[in-house]
Amino acid sequence: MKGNRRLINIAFAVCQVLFVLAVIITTVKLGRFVAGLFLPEMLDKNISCSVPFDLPNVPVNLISGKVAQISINNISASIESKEILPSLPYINGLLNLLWSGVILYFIYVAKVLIAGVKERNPFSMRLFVKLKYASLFSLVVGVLFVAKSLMIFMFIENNVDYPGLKEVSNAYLSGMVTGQVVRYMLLPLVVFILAEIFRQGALLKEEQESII
Amino acid sequence: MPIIITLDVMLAKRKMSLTKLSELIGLSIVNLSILKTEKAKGIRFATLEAICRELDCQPGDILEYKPDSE
Repeated sequence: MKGNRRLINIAFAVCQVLFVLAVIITTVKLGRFVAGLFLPEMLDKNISCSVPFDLPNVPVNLISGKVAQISINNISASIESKEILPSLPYINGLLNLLWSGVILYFIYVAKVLIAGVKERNPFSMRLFVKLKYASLFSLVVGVLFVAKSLMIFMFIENNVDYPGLKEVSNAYLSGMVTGQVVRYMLLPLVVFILAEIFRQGALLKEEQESII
Repeated sequence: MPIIITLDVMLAKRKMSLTKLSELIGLSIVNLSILKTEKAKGIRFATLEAICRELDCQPGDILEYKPDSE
């Protein structure tokens, strides 16, 4: 029992430290995003647009930020160009900021949950509402991430016409769909189920408390 | 709520304190107090049975129905 209390106290302290760190990281990201938004020259550096090798139907494996990584067999190289999608750094910045916000909120909810456990009252409608919002928030950000990837995919397919770079590989698309859906959609679902458990617990507790 | 708890009346009739009743039926004084002050949403048959047994009364002696006046 004493060990459990100690564990709870440690978890609460860890959560508090994580919360402070998340606040700092989110603030830094916000600062960088705002600076980038008002000073676009900070992000728009001149990057060469040359393709490292000239072969037909080079599949695109990974596109992130201003970089498109291509590979043939085991040889890989990167094409860097702001022309891929000029607004991509801003979109990435905004999404990273939103993701930081989600993480910050999750840590805050974890803090509330552990505080509830400390007070021997974990089930509450207040926590259910917080978990529900956390689930919704992460789902929205997840959908935005997937939408961004789809947008890049469509943009690359329709607009990028470097010599030898015409085809976006199916492996990239399927990997993106499965990977991102699992990564961004599973978390909101699990949190939503958790929120529902807490709602049921709170209702049950309320019922139990008022029947003598 | 139209159901009124008249436990205090019955306790007075039997000259028994709430503490004594709570000891006899094995229910906490806090919960008995919640019941007495009509803050409870329900009462278990087991609780009702225990109260009736110790106070030697019928359920109707501690519960009363009074319709809400408009």
